[in-house]
Amino acid sequence: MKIFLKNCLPGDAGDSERQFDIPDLGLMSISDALQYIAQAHDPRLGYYLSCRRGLCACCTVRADGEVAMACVTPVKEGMVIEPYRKDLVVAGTVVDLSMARKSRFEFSLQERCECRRETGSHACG
Amino acid sequence: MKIETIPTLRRVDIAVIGSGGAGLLAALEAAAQGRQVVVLSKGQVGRSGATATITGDVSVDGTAQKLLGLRGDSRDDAQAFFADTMKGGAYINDPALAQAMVEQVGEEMEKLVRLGLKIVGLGHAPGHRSPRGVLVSGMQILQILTRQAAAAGVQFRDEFYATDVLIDDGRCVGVAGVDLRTGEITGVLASAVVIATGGGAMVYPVRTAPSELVGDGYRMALDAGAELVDMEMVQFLPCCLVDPPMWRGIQFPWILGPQSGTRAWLLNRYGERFMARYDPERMEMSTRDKLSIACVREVLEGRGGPSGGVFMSWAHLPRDVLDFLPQWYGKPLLHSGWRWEGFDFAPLVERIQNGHAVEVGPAAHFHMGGIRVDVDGATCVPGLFACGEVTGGAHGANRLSGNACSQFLVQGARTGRAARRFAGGADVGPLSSRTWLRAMERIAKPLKSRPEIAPHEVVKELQQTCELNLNVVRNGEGLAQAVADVRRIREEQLPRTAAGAGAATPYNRAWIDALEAESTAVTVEAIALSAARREDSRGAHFRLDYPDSRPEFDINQVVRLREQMLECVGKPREDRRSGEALS
Repeated sequence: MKIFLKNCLPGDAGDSERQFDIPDLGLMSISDALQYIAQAHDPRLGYYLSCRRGLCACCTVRADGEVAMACVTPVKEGMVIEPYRKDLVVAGTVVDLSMARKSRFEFSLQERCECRRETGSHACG
Repeated sequence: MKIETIPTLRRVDIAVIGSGGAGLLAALEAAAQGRQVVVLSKGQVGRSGATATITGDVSVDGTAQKLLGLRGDSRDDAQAFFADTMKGGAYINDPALAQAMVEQVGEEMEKLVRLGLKIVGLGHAPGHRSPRGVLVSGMQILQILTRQAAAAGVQFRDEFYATDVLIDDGRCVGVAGVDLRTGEITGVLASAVVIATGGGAMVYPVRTAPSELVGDGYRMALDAGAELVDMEMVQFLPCCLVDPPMWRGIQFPWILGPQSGTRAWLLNRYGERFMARYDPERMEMSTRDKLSIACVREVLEGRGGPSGGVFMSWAHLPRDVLDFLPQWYGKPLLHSGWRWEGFDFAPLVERIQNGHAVEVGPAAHFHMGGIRVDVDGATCVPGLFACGEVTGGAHGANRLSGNACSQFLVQGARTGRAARRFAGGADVGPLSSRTWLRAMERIAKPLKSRPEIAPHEVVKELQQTCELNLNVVRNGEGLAQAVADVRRIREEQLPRTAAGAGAATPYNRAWIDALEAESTAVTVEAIALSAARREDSRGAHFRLDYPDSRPEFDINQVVRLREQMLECVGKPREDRRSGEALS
């Protein structure tokens, strides 16, 4: 099965899509596919997975343009996967959906300043 | 990456590792009286840990239920709840932990209800003599506790993978780990540290638990000098899906079957209704542990299905029987657009209605064993505390339904208060460079070489060990093999895994996998050593070579680190009362 990742890996720019082959192991979720790609092709592909049953929503991505929870959405031939929201990207497909963004601890005050400067709208501090 | 320099780490009073129910409650209680508290979470706050997966019950006795505005039943009380909990635990529970849990869960729940937690029903689960299952949503508990903790001044750091509790001169001084947002190694200094990282069910290939639960807390506690107890006691849920990958570990067939009173049959590959051999009276309506054991024995004896499970079949029932399910289960199910948790199971239901069987097996669900603590969450290491599923003792050899929530509510609150008191009197000196560099070296080790074996391959091998020899059905030969296998993997395989020099990037899965593989390996070894030493069957631990419980094993197995090696020793059951320290 071929799928495409858009704006998911370091160096991705514009709307370029990267193609990946994943094996057909029966019904697989988008999370299964992301895990396979990170393990077999590129460990820099950040993905996030917790409950694996559509409750915590931390794995939310955009699949073929639609917002989807990756753990409960079947991956399909030719699917294009991208981060749910560009402005919330932490790394790879991981987006910042924390319930405690407004009370975030930073490891050093210096880091907090740099973080603000580099990412602008990023929800630090 | 430079590891020679010691960074200037920020200092707080209390650092809590883990942002599930236990960690959030501990943080909330610890933050009173102006204490500075930080919650460090491997995932995202409010969206990670096993609390998020709760769509079920908190056990509260009938009398205490009146506190929650429920009708309650005065004939039930904390004493009866205690007796059921000890019986369920085959009497190896730490009575002080069990007692605090049953006596104080009512008041902790009352606080949550006052803060807006909705009670959606009351259930009666097996093992409880009366209905004690107060039904709530785990996600709502997380929302309420996060909001309260933030209002109390608690700060949060999501996406920080805590890997090491820093110990100087035998006492706890802080936490080190990887900031997954940047790929940097960093940490925080703290007078008290609370481990609330949950269990380790991810060491099994089929499991219900969320993916963070690889046993990080067990490894950190052992490295810090604390002990683990009852690690052989792993709870499994029967009749979960084993295939396809997306559905693995989901207990949907159980819901469509025995849970809703639909008399589906369990069949082996020859079509035999095998429960007749294990529990002829109750058959498929037997208890969860008996069902799990029966299903695995059928597979071990060569009568399983192609994916390592057995078959659940509705074919003997009228094809339209599932149409009545909403009525019997008491919830709207199977309507158009309907989801079970997040899943669209319409294709599976259609297959069942067309007469197909579904392959099912037990899934690792909860760890009764864990870090040895007193009733206030204190370990034997000064300044190191633990609460929630990561601790052992409250449930003994098996846990009753709903008691996991009761445990984290009571332990979380008590541990937070104890950590606050401890931090009030503590005076932590500067971190020694030796301590920091040792942690740094361990965390950075996977960055120093190219992998000969991918970290996830090692994890897979450890999971196979668990599936083969540390599963629901165990025997002496298999347990000895498991000990040998995990030690071989730790000595020969783990040192050859790595992530590579370029892996210090944000959310680098190879680095995360390499560090998680260490936790997985330690967890598996602790389970294997404890299970091999327990030559009897009780609770969740079932051995074919010792199928009955034996009085000489009315003891707890304790695992600790000695001379860089894990050792397991038997220890007489706890009989200390509330408030006494660990012996």
